[in-house]
Amino acid sequence: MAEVRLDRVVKRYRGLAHEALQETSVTFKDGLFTCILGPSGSGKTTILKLLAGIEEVSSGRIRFDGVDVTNVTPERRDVAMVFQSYALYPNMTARDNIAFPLQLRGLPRAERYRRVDEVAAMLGIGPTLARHPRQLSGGERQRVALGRAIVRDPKVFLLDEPISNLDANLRMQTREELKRIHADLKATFIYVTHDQDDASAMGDEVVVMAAGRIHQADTPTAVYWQPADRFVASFLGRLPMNFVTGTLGEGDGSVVLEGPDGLALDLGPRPDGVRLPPGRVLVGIRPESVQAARADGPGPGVIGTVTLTEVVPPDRYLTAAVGSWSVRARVVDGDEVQPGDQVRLRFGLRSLNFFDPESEQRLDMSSAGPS
Amino acid sequence: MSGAEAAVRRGTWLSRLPIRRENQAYAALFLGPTFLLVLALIIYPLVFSVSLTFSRVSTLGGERSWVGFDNWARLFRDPLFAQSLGQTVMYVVPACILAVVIGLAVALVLNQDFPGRLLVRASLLIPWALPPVVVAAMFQWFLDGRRGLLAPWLVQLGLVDKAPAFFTGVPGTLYTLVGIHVWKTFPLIALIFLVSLQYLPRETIHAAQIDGANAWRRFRYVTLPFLLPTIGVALIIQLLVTIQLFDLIFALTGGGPGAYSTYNLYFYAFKTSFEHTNLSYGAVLAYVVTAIIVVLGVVLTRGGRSLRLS
Repeated sequence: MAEVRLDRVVKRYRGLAHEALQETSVTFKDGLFTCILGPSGSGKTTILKLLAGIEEVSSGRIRFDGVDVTNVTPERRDVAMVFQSYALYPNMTARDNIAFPLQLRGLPRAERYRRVDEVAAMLGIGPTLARHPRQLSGGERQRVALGRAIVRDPKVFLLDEPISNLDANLRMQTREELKRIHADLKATFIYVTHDQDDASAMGDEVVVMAAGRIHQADTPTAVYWQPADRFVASFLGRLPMNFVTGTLGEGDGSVVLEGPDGLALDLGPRPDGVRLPPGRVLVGIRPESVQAARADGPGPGVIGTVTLTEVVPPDRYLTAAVGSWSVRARVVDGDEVQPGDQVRLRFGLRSLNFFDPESEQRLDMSSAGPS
Repeated sequence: MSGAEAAVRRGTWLSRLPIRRENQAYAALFLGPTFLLVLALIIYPLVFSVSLTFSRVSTLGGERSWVGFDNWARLFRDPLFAQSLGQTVMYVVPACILAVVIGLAVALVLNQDFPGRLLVRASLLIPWALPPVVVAAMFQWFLDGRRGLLAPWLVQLGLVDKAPAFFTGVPGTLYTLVGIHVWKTFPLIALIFLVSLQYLPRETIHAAQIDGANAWRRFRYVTLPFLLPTIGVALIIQLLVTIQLFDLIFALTGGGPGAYSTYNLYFYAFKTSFEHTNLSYGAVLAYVVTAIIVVLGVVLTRGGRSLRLS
C-alpha cells in the first residue's frame, strides 16, 4: 500500500514541440481507486508510464510513501501494470503468464501455481490456464493480464484502459469486479480511461486531464457538479453542457442573468450565503438541471421555441431557442413536445456553474465577491 | 471427392487453370516462351547432369561412355571426399553458430535507441555488400604475416610473441576462412533479426520489466522465445551460403595449405570438374551437396514450424 505522488513532474518527448506532461503535482491517495480521465493525447498514459518507470521524467520527482523513486528502475518499483493491449507473453500459457512475476522472485513452482490457482479462481479463468494467449478470447486475455498484476500483491496498481477493448456487457461486469478486487486488496489503484462512465463507476477520485495538464482532481460527483473550469464542464456529461455569457443582477427579490440579445433568465431568489460574482460571467448549466414544460399557462421561467427533441433513457430532452441562445433541457415527465412548440424553461441558481469568461476558471459563489 | 471436383481434376493441366476454354490457345501461346526457357535452362541441365553421373565424360570433351553407378561408388573409396565432407562440417558448424550469435547480439544493440543509430545501421551492411574478391584481397593484406596490419599490432600489444600464421597453418587456415566468411555474412543475419525485433511489441518488454525481469531475463523469457522462428530462418540462410562457400577458398588459399586443408565439398566438386576435368564425378559431388542442402532445409523448416505451433 502506498501513497503515490508526482512532485512538479514534467515530461517532454524528443522531437515533440509541446510537453506531453506540463509541470504537474498530484497525489494519488493510499488505498484509493483513482481514475485519470481525459481525451486522447491528454498525457494520462504518460503519467502511468512515468509511475511504472518505463519512461523517465524530464524534471521533477516521483515519490511512493514519501520515498523518492524517480531513479528506481521499473523492476524494483513494486508496481503492477495492466496494459490496454494486455501485453501477455505469447510463448507462455496463461498459467505461466500469471506465474511469471513470481517465477522472477524465485518462488518454487508448486507455490507459484498454488497462488496462480487462487487468483484464477478469483477471476473465473481456472479452465483457461493451460492455453496460450492466442487461444484466449479478449475477455480472457484481459483477465490473465489482471491476474498477472494481482498475483504479485503490489503496492500500486496501474491500469491503462484495460477494459476498453471489451464489449459493453463485459465492461460493466469487469468494472464491478475491479471494484471488488480493489476492496479486497486495498492497494492504490490508478486507472487511466477516456470513458467517464468508467471513471464515475469505479473511481473514488477522478483526475481530469487535457493537453498535458490536470484540470481537476476530486470525487466523481464533484467533477460533475462543480467542474473546475470550462473544459471539465464540457468534457463530462452525456449531453453537452449549456453555456451562456452574461451578467448577474438582483431585483424584485430574484436573481436575473442578463445575456446577449436581451436575454433575461429569472433564476429565482438568492439563497442565503450565496454571493453573486460581479461583472460578466460564463454560465454553464447541465441539461438535466433545466426543466422544460409546455408553456400553456403563466409561471416563472423563460419561454423558448423547441427546435429538436431527443431521448436519452430514461429521460427526454429538447433543444430550444431562446432568442439567439440555443439551450438543451430535460422535458418534465408527462409533457409531450414537438419541434415548433413553445416551452417554459426553468433554471435553478444552485445548479448553475459560473466561470470567468477570460480564464474559464470556476468562480465560487460562496467565496466570490469583494475579497 | 465429389463429382464436380473429380470433373475439375480430370482433363489437361491447361483446362484446370482458371482460364476460359476459348482463351486456352492464347494461354498456351503466352506461356510457351517461358516454358521453353525453363526447359532449356533448368530441366534439360538437370536431366543432363543426372545422366552425367552415370557416364564417364571429360570436361575437355571426347568419347562418352556409360559406367552405371561407378561414379557414385567412388564416393565410398575416395578419402578426399571424406575429408572434404568433414571439412564442410568444420566450416558450416562454427560459421552458423558465430553468424547467428554475433548477428543476434548486433541486432539487439542496434535495436536500442542511441544517437547515430541510423548511420551505424546503414554501415552494418558494408561487409555484406562488398564483392567476395574484394573481401579476399582486403583480408590478405590485413592478415599477411609480414606486411599485414594485424600481426604487428598483436605483437606490439604483447598478445602474441610472433606473427600468427593466418594462411599457413593446418587446420588454422580453415578457421581464418570461417572468420572472414562470418565477417562478410553476419550483417544479413543481423538485419533479419533487426527486422524481426521491430515486431516484438515494446509493451510486452515493458510488462516483463514491470513484472521484475532484469535485462537478461527479459531476453531469456521474452525476446529469445519470440525470435526462435527467426533463428531457424537465419540458420537455414547461413547454412546455405556456407555450404556453398567457394569464392573465399578460391581467392585466398586455392584449397591449401598442406593436403587440401581448406577444401569443402563444393570446392572439391569444382576442382574435380574443371581442373581434373572429370565432369562425371564432379556432378556426383555437386549432387551430394544438393542432397545435404535439401535434407537440412526440410529438417530446419519442419523444426521451425513445429516450434511455432507448440
